[in-house]
Amino acid sequence: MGAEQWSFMFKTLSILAAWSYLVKGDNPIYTAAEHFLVGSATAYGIVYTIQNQIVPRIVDDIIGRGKWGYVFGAILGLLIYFSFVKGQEWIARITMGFWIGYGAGYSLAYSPPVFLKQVTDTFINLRTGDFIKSFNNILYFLVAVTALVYFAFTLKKDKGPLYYGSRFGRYALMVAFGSAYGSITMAYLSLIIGQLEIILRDTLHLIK
Amino acid sequence: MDWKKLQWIDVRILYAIIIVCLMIPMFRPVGLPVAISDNTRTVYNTVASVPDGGVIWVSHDTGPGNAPELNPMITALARQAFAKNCKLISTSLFNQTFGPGTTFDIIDAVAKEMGKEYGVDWVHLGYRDNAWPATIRLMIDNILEGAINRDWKGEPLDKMPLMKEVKSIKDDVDLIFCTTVGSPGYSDWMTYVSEPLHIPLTGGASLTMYSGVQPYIRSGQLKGFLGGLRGAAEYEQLVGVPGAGLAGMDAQSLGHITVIVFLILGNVGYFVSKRSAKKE
Amino acid sequence: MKRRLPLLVVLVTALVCMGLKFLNLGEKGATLATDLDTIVQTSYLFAFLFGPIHLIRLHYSYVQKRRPNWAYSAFLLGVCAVTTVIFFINKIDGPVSTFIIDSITNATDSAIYAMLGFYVCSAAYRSFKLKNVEATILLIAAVILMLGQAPIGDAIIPNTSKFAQWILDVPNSAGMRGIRIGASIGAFAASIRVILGLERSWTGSGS
Repeated sequence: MGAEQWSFMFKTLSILAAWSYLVKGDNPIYTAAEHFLVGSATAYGIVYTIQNQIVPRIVDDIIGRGKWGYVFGAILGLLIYFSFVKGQEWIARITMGFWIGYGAGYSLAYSPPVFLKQVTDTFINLRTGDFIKSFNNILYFLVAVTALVYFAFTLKKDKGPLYYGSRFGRYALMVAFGSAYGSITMAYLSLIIGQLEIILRDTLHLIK
Repeated sequence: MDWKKLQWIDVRILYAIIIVCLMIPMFRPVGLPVAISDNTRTVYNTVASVPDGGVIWVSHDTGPGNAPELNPMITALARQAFAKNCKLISTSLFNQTFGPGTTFDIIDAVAKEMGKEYGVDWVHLGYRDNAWPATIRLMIDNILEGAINRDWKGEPLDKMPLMKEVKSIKDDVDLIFCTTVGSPGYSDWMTYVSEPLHIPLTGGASLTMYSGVQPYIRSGQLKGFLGGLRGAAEYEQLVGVPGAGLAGMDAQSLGHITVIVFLILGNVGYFVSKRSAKKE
Repeated sequence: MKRRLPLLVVLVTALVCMGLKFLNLGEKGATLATDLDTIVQTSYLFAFLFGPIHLIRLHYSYVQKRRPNWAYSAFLLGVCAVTTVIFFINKIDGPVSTFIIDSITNATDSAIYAMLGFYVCSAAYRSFKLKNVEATILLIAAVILMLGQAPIGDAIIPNTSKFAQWILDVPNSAGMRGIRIGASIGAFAASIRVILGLERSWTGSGS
């Protein structure tokens, strides 16, 4: 049995270990597999980061190219470990604040064009030459606006256009969620198919 | 027959039925035709519109969980790109254990088949901590800086011929193809790269989030987007090499019918119980 | 000072980032932006042990205190230690490392995620009842999508896939757009609250 076949065997055993949860609930085999997954994934992350990112940064950039400014970034990153020191957790929050400010700042700076395109694309041409296209555009506009009306919970919607608009939006959202559910079902079934192919085709060679 | 019992079937029986129903078409494939949607044609045409020899940035932003849906998309994309002698630079920024090795294996299998050489025709950068937005912003101007001059194995990038030609995303990349299951994913590529730099963005999404991608396809911010295994199957047909996507479609069909039968069974039991309760 | 300093850091960093994007500061601005990105990238790299240390501390405490199922925690710590050594010696792309990650870690992860497929099916059976108009609409849309997305839909009822695609393109897309616009506005408001220091839960001092 070659290396590839051993690999498929172990994949099959891992799948069966995980799926034992479906039969017996929490059981030793499943729990052991789960803990192995967490332990080995953590180890991989540590080694990958050190080997491919930290060592090149120190050896090639800081020492090799003399980019000593990067040391400031390193110190900032190391401050996060103060969250393990009782009474000095506030030092770690300086680094967290830096990350949060960076993320929030660039998010606010970059997001408006994406968001505004969505808004402008909602106000589309309702009267095109084509009946079906016009119908679709009118329906699209109505659904988008009434969905927003539905989510405006601070508005009084007990009668009038807001009431009917909100109800129409609610039904339209049900269509959206139903289509999401249908898609999700298909997605998860295809994942099961993937696992069965590993077992039946790659390991047991029962199918082509 | 006690119809009320229909509501209380042991779920393990349902699991067994689902497994059997998914297995039957694997043993006896039917080969139902898969109609190709406009969305998939748009993706195919977008990749086809990249000039021969152009550079495509492929980001396989998935974990092992959704890999069966999205791996076939990358395989088909690699085939179409290599057939046009396009260069590929790949990343995998969602999951650290899956990103480096598995993405490399998927593209490498196609590259070897089509006579493409690693380092000359394609390079895999792997996973990067804090890709968004710091590392990607660095790569926009200088890929070697952003990737700390290392590929997924730790090999120096500046020794690779491809990286001497492709220096930055903003000047040298013609198209971004990203497969996505959540965040980080297509929305980050759109926000930080595609929109500000006007680089076309296409790719595929897991069906778990496909319905949420539709507004961006409609607005043109995404140049079409493949949807799950079905999208991969359609794309494989257009590329002309059937693969895992098409192979799974028959099982998918019977699986859906089974779920619909479960829906009907559950509701029949519910309505019968409701009627008996009213009578009592 | 201990509570205010992190909030001040958030405000200053966010303003600098927004300024770099919106103001045309030329070469100096570009250099500052690159330096900032590199500092953030480097700081994240050196903070990489934050998660693993938490994990190790947690499971070590379970072993020390002999909590129920402590043996699994000991197993996890042992696996973490042994595989770290293996990955260092064999390197990330070595045959043993690849075997462990592909054949056990990723395979288990993938199988656990695929279990959701079974839960979706049992949810379809158990929870999806036609109790009201909304549930009925949701169910009909779901069934049309499921039939349309699989080839069997077109085989049973012609053009099902086209109708399913129409549902995705028009009502679904419009509904999702409404949700996205609302969520984006909420995200902007949340970002502004964080930048202005109105959201302080992350500092441990509450709002």
